[in-house]
Amino acid sequence: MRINTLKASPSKVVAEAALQGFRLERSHPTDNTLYTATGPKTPGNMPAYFLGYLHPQALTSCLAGPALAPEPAAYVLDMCAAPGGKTAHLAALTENRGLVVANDLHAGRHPALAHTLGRLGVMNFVMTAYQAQEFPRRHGFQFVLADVPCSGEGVFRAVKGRSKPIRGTRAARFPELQRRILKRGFDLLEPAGVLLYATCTYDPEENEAVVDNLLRERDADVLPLYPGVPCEAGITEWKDMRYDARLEHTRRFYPHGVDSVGFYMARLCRRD
Amino acid sequence: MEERFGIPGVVFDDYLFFRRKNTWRILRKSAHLAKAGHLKVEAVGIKGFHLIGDFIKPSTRVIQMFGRHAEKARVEVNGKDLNRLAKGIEIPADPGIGNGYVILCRRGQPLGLGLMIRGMLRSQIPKSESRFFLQPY
Repeated sequence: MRINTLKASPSKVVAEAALQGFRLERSHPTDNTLYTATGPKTPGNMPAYFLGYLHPQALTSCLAGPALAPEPAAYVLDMCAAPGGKTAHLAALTENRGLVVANDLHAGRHPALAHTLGRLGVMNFVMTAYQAQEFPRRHGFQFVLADVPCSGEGVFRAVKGRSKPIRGTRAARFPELQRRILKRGFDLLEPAGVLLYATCTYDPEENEAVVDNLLRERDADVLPLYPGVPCEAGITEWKDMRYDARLEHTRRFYPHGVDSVGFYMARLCRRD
Repeated sequence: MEERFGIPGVVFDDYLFFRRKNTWRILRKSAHLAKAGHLKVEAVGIKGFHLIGDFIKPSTRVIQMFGRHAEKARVEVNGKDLNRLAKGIEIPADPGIGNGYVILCRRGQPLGLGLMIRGMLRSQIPKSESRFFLQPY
């Protein structure tokens, strides 16, 4: 779980949780807002949840915001925002100043997104409903998060009821959709902007191949990532494919390494 | 908010209010808003207030965010009373506060809204969220 610094300090939440019979242990060596909770129930049943002091979230999901690292008062776009955990984290990192555009195509997911942002006290957001790959390009953003739809191979260990990844024709469409979203996200960057591409899957076709495609079609570069938890470098070969060597700077997170959801992240910018 | 709760108007100086029908939403001011002006927006900021009859009712989220600035119409409740309020039971409270909305607090922390009528207090925290206070808190 992540402690929401927009509403409470970590020490306050740790103390409140103890009163409720929960024990919170730091799950990240340097980030004092990330904890693992053990107690009589799930953290989502604590009054601190209702008060917006905390948000139950996988550790690897919590790493996306700090990896993008938006500055306070920045102009930020979350291209696929619902249900809003990462969006709220970005807002917390901007200190509720600046502006976060929380985009999600699916109107049916907007109530959950609005509820999450409202509960967590996010005051600096506007919600839009564009197709991420068609998001209007009139103004650039300083920071863009492209946490794209994916086959979800990384979650089926951690999430009850998801024993199988998404397969079939829907899954077959993901790489093309991901390529288009990533390219649009990159085109939306201001000259000194930073983009984070993220998925919760292991499939190289949805990870390295998508970023490789961007590196070939745009003047993009890969920035290093230092997540502070066990992870592996992105791969540069898969079956008969050879990817750009810079993909070594992207990061793969495996459940056996982080005891969390499997994840992939690439931090990107325009080349000087 | 100033008249009923004593929250100084200056607290809201950094915010914009957007009204649609009977609802106001609150958004933090930002220099970036002009850049976002071309976007087709579905919603801005959090739901702040709702017009009910002649009364403007603050949302639970607004009370949680701004209630700490209140200088009056705050009611501190103990765990037992909070549990009763969560069950929908009215409890007696200081009638000196007067009829109207009050801020329910526990250990000084604003939880949400209450309604005082003739010295009896009832919770205005949504029923779906009252469950959090059915346990000791």
